[in-house]
Amino acid sequence: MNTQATKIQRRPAPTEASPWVRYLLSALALVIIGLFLILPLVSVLAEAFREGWQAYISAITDRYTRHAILLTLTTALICVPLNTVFGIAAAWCIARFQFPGRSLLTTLIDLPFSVSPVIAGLVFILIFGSQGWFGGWFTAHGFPIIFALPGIVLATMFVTLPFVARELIPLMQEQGSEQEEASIMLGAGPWKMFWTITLPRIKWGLLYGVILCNARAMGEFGAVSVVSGHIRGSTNTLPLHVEILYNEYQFSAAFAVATLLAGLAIVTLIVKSIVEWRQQRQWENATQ
Amino acid sequence: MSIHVNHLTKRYGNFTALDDIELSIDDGELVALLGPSGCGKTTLLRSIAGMEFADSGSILLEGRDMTYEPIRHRQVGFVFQHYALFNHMSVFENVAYGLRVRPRAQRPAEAEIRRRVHELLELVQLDWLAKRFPPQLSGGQRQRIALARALAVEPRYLLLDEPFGALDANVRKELRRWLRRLHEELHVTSLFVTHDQEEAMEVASRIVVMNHGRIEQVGTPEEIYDEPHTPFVSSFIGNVNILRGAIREGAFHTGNWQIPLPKEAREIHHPEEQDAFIRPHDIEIVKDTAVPWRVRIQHIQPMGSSYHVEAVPIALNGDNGPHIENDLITIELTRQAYKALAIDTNDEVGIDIHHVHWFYDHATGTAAS
Repeated sequence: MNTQATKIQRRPAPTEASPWVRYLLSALALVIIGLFLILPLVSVLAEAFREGWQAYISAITDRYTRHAILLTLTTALICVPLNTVFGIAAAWCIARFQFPGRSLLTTLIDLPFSVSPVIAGLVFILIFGSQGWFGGWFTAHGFPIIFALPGIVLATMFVTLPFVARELIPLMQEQGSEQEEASIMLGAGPWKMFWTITLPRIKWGLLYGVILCNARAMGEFGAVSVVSGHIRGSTNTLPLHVEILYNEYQFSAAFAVATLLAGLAIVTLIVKSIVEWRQQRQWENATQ
Repeated sequence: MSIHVNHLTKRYGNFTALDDIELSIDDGELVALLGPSGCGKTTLLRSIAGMEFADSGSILLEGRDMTYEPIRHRQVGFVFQHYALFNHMSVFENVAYGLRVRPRAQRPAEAEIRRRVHELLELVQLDWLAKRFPPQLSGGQRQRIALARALAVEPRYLLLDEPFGALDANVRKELRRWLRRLHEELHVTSLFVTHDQEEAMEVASRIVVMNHGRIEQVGTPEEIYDEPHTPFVSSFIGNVNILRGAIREGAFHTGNWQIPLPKEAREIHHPEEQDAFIRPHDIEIVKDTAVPWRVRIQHIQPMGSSYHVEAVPIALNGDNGPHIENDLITIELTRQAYKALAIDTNDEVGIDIHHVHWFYDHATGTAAS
């Protein structure tokens, strides 16, 4: 038995390329990843600590930095829940019902992905700016939108709108509505059905969308830059703060603040991998 | 717990899914809705359940008009083809679901829920799987859990949409028998959809044959098979040889073959064209050379308990032979008959036709020879 087994050699699969090609492609991929992903991250850290711990700490505990952190968190805290609710509602509509304009709605949800964020910001200036259509009215009633928190929230919401919906639409379409029908047949009302059947089935996909939405909400630069006015201690978010510091030749401080955003990105990636792993496991369980 | 369907019609754009359906089901019956895919049987089932709403007509449950009542007022248990079990809940929680989602005032106490769920799991003989999750079960087990779940809410009607369609042949056979026994035990009015005529014959006490959104025939399995009302029913339920020809001078002519008509049929006015429907087991092979209908055996297919013989008709004197669909006559022989005849391929034999179904007018029905 043993002698026979040793005779069997591992043959390459029909789709397998020759070793040279494989090593070459792998090396190329590693070089690209190193050059474009790892190196910038390392350089951000190196620059941030160039002037030592003290400078780093003082840069990120600076009054204006703290305000920028607070503003970024506030913006995300408003935008992410709203876009989560919207995303679930939109995905529900598109995946479960046939109605005129359904494909138009699907396309519209993708609009923020295809429009440059700067244009998005400018649109809000045109609508709500002091020379804009409604801007005068809002300012006159003591609720300025542009160069204030509402403008930042609007711009961020616009940019992050597709994330949750995009994640859920294919998932819900694939899952189909049979389990939901079964729930209704067993006497559940629409709310009960949503909390006991729909939500548990989409939870990992939903979380994944929320994580991506949050990352973008905190990191958005272009659209927010246009509507915020860069007022330090007032309408300056973290990404804008990095830019201001950099323009003022405070390189070390700029990179120190940038580490916060980089840290956020890394935490996002870790959470995202955990969610993906859970999602995969759930999918495997469901298709056994 | 009777079901009455009155003039139910449903269209999707130009497609008519249900065309003026009339159907009555008595309390405690086990009825099959049988038909090819797209015939409207599932739409009818879903309309009765309340998952679809018809364009016109009405549905009466126990004499009460329920056409536009929401699902939860209909007291219907529904079993889906692909089980539709809640994969994120244990088997126990799946079965308990219908009890747990009730409004607080009607919800049984936790101990009562436990008792009921275990009772149902014992009924479907799967109590030992209570803690498992649906993806860990086999197809047959899942469908039995789905049935237990549907029964948990004590429905007055049990509707099953192709309940065995996704299962292996063996499991399907076993579950059919099991469903019939369960129905004898519970006596809940049951309606199930199937496209498998064998399944309908085996399980149901009555069969509703549907085609193109219309009911072709309603009857016991025996009636449907022995006295089909329409050509469709005849060819959909079991195998049939269709001979194309015309009626002249009191006899059916196809090529140079003649088949005499039954007495009562001779007085009816006949259309130019007429088909004769003959079941494979209504044809006998005879070795007598004097028999007028002659065929050459082309293929013999052993089917286990019987033999299917495919034969080509022989035209006499250069005349045209009979016009048969597929150009082959299928004859079914019992094992004994086959052994006694000792025939082989390419043999020339005579055939004797014992029974023919005639359909004079598709709308008014049938007379058998």
